[in-house]
Parts: sequence; structure tokens; C-alpha cells
Amino acid sequence: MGARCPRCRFATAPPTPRCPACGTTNEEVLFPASGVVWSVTQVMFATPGAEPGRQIAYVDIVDGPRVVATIRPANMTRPDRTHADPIRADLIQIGQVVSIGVDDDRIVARATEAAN
Amino acid sequence: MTRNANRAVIAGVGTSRFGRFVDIRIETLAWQAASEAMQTAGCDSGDIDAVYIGTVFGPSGLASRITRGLGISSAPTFRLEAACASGTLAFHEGVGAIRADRFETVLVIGVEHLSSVFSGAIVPEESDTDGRGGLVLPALYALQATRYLHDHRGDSSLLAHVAHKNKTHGLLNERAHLHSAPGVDEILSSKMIASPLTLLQCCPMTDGAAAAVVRRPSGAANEVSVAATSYQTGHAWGSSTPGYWGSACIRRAMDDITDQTRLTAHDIDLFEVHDAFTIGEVLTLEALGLCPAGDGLSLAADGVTWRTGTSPVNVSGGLLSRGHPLGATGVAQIAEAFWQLNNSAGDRQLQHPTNALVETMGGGASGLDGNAAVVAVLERID
Repeated sequence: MGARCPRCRFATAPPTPRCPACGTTNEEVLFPASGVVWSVTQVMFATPGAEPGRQIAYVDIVDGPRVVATIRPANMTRPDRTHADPIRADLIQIGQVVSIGVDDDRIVARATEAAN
Repeated sequence: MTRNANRAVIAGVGTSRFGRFVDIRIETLAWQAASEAMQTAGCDSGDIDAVYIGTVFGPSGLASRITRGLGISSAPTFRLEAACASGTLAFHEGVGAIRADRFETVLVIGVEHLSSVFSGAIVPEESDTDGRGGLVLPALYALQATRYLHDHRGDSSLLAHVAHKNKTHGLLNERAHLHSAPGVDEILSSKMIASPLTLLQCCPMTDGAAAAVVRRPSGAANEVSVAATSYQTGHAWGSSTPGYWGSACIRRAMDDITDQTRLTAHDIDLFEVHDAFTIGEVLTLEALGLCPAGDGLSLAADGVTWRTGTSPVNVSGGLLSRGHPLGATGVAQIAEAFWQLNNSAGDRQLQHPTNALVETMGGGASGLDGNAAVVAVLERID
């Protein structure tokens, strides 16, 4: 669930009363449950409710907003604690198409097909 | 209109030491910084017409406790928050008040006591969408780093040169939190925090305070002129807006500075910029226009931004050495610029800088290209 500006088409999730980009009164819409990874990082320290080794991505929803998503499944391999290969081949890649869901009130993303 | 109308100068600065001070109260840090600034400026409590305080996590009532201890509780006091740019915003507002002729002399204070708020890293704000999604601050910057290295086919090891430079600079700053200068290999092999950023590419959790006395020009010998300041809040940022988080916000501030002063980044003798994470310095220098997009990554490795280079950046040691007591940081950057322009920076004094640029970037709110960016340019008065 989100909103789209009827004037400038800027997409927002969760919805806001007015468009963050131009201030026009927003219209609520449902966005597709898929997107493309804009960037990704593997976070190696724990925070409340989150384990080390999780991958956090910015996902650009198709024709929608950019959202922060946790990549599932978590810990595809043993967490890498060195610099040796900071953008590892087994991490999800920029450009990867993902499906979007919600788990425990957090946005999660899963790889759906090979990176473009 | 008199010659000095609409002009503001910094008459004195001060800071606490920077570090982890679990046994020191937050107002004590502010008192240390403010007392030094007032002493340098040669002003007494009765001279302060207003106080501008920047802090993010400071407790309620902090501003009043600070002014009471300085004997200036009768002066109107304003508390401002713009995440990491809170102190620089307080400075911007203090300068604006002088220029608007609202007050004759104001005291600007930035202060933070993170060790009494967090036991480890800053916990993301649960009431924010991205914060709820687990977007810790190192991850926010790491995501920009991943995308930047992808876009420019960059070598991530070049990021470590930024930390190597600033931590080496920091060896000359006796008030800095950290006093070690690891080599590039050690920085790269330190614990991974949020790929590709390793521990030694992240600023420490630091307590501290900084202060500045801002007033109309009096002709005193050590005054430093405030050529311009710009405070830019965030614009909508998302899948349909180009660029990295923060970059456009900083660019708007620099464009405004150029409109006010006709100065560009190439005219600046030294920079104190927001290097909370190594990628931050890279993106900031590009956004300020010091180099084309993609070229910022190699500036430290090429020597350009070292204190011996053509565009010295973070000769104080930056946030990576001094630490990042959020609200204090911007005013601490101002203090370094003041000392350098006054030839009073001690062992780390550069040779005769005539101007300095300070930039601080505040973030954390989802869907914007920053909470705020503040840029200030200071000039030596000859």
C-alpha cells in the first residue's frame, strides 16, 4: 500500500497525505509486489531484532517507490568478516529482480530470477 | 547602512576533548566548550544576547541547564535539531540572527553525550519507515558505497585511503577521540561493519561539545568572517530521482553558497566535511564540485586531499578521528576552520589559508535526500 501523486507521479510508501516531491494531494494505490535491487549491503553487527549477516537492500518497486528491504533467505552463506571480496558473488546483486513481501512488519525481498 | 551591517564574524571558539566520557555530564562538556569560546572572544556572560544549541539526543531541559551554568539563563535560548547537521544548523541560525540585526552577540553550542544514550551503535528510529526496516546509519552509507562502486566500476580499497588520510591527520589533533593511524591494509582487514565499509572506515561513538561566539565585526585581531552559510532541507528521493542519497542536498547548499559568494570548491583553501563514513567524504567532495562524478574516489589515494595536497580535507582528523558527537560535530568543524584561519591550529596549522569550507550532512528520515545539509564558508580578515 502506498500513494502516487496524480500530478508528478512520484510514488510513496507508506502513503502520505501530500506528495513529498510537489505537495499535491496524494492518491492511495497498490504497488506491484516486485522490484529491482538498486543497492545492497551486508550488515555484520546485531541490532534489536536483527542478526549479524543480514542483507539490507534498496529495492525500486516496479513503477513504485524505493523501499528498504531485508533479503531472504538470510545468511545464504557464512557471513564474510573480511574485506577480501566486499561485494560478494553470493550476495544479491544490483539489478536483481526480487519479489516483495512483509514479514513481522518488515519488508522482505526474495530473488526471483537471474540478474539482468 | 553602516559598513558592518549584515556581516557576522566568529570572535572565538572552543571545544571539549572528544571521547567516551561516561562520568562527565553533558552540560559539563558544553560548559567547557562555551567557556573557551567566550574567553577567546573576550566576552563576558552579560555580552551574550542569545544562545543557539544544536543537539540530537540531548535530554529535555538541557539548554536551560547549560545556560544556567554559564550565567546566561536570561538570554533567549533556541534548541535546533537536524540529525548530524544540528550544530551547523545552530551556527547558521546564530549567524542569521546577527545578520538580521536581531542580536549583537550570540553563543552557538553543539553538544552530544552518546555514551549515556546508546551502549553500542545508534539504534535506527523505529518510528521511521526505513528505520523500522533496519536501516542502521552504516548501512545507509554502505548502500551508497555499493551503488557508487557499481556505477563507476570503482575499487573499494580506495575508500580506505580516506580513512588512512584522516586518521593520520588526526594524530596532530590532541583533542581527537582516536589517535592511531592504521595503514590501508589494516583498515581493509578490520572487521566488516556493513559491506563494503569496515570498522576503521566508520566514525566512533563519541561524546563532546563545541562552541562559537558569533557577533558583528568589531575589528578585533582574531575575528574570522562568515562569508556565507546555507541550510538546505531534504527533497523527495526515490526510484524516480537520480543520484545518491545526500548528494543533491549538498549540491543545493553549495549552489547557494556560490550564488552568495561567487566562490566554487576550487577557490577553497581547506575543507572540513562530513566523513562519518569514508564514502561520505567521497560523495561530498563530488557534490561540492571539487571533481567530476566518479573522480572523488581516488582523491585521497592521489594525495589531493591530504594536508600537503592542493585541496586539504579534514586536517582536523575529521569525524573518523575526532569522533562524531552528532550535535557537536558541525561546531567542531567550525572551530577547526577558525583555528586554521587564525594561524592558531598548532602542530596541524596549514600555511596561510585564506578561506575554509565546512559541510555537515544530517540524515535518517526515509524518502528524502537528507534531513538537512549545511555548508558554511569562512574567511580570514586581513
